[in-house]
Amino acid sequence: MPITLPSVVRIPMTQGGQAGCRPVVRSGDRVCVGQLIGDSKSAMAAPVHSSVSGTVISIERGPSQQEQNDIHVVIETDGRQTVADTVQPPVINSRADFLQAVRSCGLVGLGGAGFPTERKYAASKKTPLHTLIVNGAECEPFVTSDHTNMTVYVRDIIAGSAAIMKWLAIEKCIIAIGADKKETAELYRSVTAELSGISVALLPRQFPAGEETMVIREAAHVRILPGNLPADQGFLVSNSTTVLKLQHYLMTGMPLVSRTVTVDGDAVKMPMNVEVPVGTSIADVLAFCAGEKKPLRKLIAGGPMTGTALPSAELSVIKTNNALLFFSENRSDLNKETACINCGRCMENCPAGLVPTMLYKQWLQKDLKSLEKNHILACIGCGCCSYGCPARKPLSDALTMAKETVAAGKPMENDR
Amino acid sequence: MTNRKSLTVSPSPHIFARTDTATLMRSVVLALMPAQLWAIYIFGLRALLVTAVSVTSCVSLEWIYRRMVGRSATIGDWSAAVTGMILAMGLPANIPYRYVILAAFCAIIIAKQLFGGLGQNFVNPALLGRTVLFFGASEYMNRFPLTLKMSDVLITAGGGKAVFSAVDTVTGPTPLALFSNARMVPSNLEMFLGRISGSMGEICTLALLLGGIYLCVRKVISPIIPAAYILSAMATALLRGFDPVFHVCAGGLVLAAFFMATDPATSPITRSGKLIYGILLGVLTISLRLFTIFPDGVTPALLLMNILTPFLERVTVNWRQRSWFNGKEEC
Repeated sequence: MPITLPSVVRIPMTQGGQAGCRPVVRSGDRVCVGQLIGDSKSAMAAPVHSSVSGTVISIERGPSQQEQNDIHVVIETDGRQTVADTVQPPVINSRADFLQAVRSCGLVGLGGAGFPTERKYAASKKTPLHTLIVNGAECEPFVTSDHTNMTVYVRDIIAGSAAIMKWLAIEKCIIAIGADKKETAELYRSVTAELSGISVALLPRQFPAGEETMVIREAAHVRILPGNLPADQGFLVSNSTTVLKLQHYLMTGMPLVSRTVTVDGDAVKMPMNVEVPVGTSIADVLAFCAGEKKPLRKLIAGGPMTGTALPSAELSVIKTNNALLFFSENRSDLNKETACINCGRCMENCPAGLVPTMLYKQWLQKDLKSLEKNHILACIGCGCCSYGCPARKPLSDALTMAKETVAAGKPMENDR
Repeated sequence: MTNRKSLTVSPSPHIFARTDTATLMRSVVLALMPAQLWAIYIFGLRALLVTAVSVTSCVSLEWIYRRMVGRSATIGDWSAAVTGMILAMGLPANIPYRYVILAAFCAIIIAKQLFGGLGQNFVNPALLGRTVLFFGASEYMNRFPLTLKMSDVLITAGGGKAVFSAVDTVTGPTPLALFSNARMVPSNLEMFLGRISGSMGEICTLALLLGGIYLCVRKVISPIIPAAYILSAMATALLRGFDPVFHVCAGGLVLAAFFMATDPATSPITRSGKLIYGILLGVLTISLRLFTIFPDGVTPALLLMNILTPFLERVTVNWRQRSWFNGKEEC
């Protein structure tokens, strides 16, 4: 269901990736839906397009979901949603054309990671890609936006996958779906039965089955070695909604300007999946879902396991927001940290085979050598160690920092 | 509007499993209840009083110590209460209270707090408390009360038709004491059901099994250590030509298997480490029981294995990482 068009949208220039865009419109300009409003020379930023038609009322700085001091293009909507002239299906004749189209679409990883899609698709020239995995696992609790799209746009997702296979010369495609969505998997099986190279794989219904390396392990039975990117071993994993948005761009030329957002949590009156223009205030989304049921204490962008807690509901929705979760109670407040008793639950829960309690102690001592020796780089940041810790140690947070520190000290083998 | 209210910002994850340390510790206390109730049935009110003194001493000593050295209060994690319970289960019901307090002091202050508190101890606190009494108060640790609720074998061996009402004054032998003197021992069924003399929480194998299985089912402990310990003890006894069931039911083996050997701070974290730990414990316990002056063998075996734990842990964590990160792509 699309949200009621807000009167004003504030579109942040940093949405996914590690770099921001610069506005290419000025205050007072008239803009249409799909018009380019922010661009960057950096491959680490995807271009940003207007999600509405109306007038730019200001270019202002302020906090966004990703940056403390981000640039926002603030647009007053005219309600007509006039589509820009530039919105035309792209003409593609080569791999380079295709990658340019992926970039022009403004695509970033829509599963939440937000890595610029063009960068990912272009990566690793030394190993040819052999398998595309369309990731429809969506394993986090609460989140159902990918699944909603997967059931509605079956043919578009398959057509998008075929386009990626064609232009990136990938022979094999696996559509990975959680085992809790058997009907959807059956649907895809029946539709892809005639197509060569495309198959459907069921993933365990357990978090973090949708994490990139986990998907590859379960769907293709290959282990991505620590320090490797999937592309280094010939795999390309793309979120199902990312593939869908790409296909829509290939068909219509409409770039990524809106996305499906799961609105849920005990503090919202009417939980639902809603199509939200990028730049809409989170408060407007909450209001559309009938507002607060209980006083809001914690707001999470993304799933409860890996999502980000946001400081304010005045922030704008960005491309990577697969879910907005509104909670009245903050479990982190209730958690009192106690001593580690070496119970090993973190180790038993770790899908990457690590011993988090040991790594945690090594991180506290800043023993980077031991951290690296004990495979900190294999950490996938899923949060399972913290989830099960009876002592409520901030294991996942510490391990993520440790991984970044160790990775920063190593010569960069990949530019990611 | 929502923006006026303060929202909490914290690192992910934002949801957590319900189980915390206090929940785990309370489960252990609950799991010891069948053994405690049986002790009260057999030995009377004094079994309850010994436990009360032990738990109160442990909890208050921990509270006083943490306050004295200016550290945070930790009695809310229930670990001191667990130490008090396990300590009491390993004592005779007729032991003078001053020794209970001494053991609690050694357990909480020396074994636990001086090493940094919960999780930092290299030896199980209750085990150290009990060990000190074994050497420092051996005459009390080896004198067990005798009552009419026990096996006829014990009563006969314990001095015939003595006056049984005053538990403190009449003492009787344990099955292991009879065994080491090559005398007649109670039947395995009587030992399994706990109609024998001994440390108050160790006599009834059935009650301990109930609690132990509860802990395994609730996933408070892993069944690897208890299973490996009991099976390897049985195998060792069998190899030496003795009755394996007798050796499991006698002494403190089952209490140790479920409640002391599973102490996560003093046992290896890995599954392979737990398996080796359990097997060695069984072999050591029975060997020490048969070949040394230790009547039971459980206490010295546990002490040795506690000391071996850091080594076992390091080796087995390396094994685990080698098999996970073997550099192979297929899985």
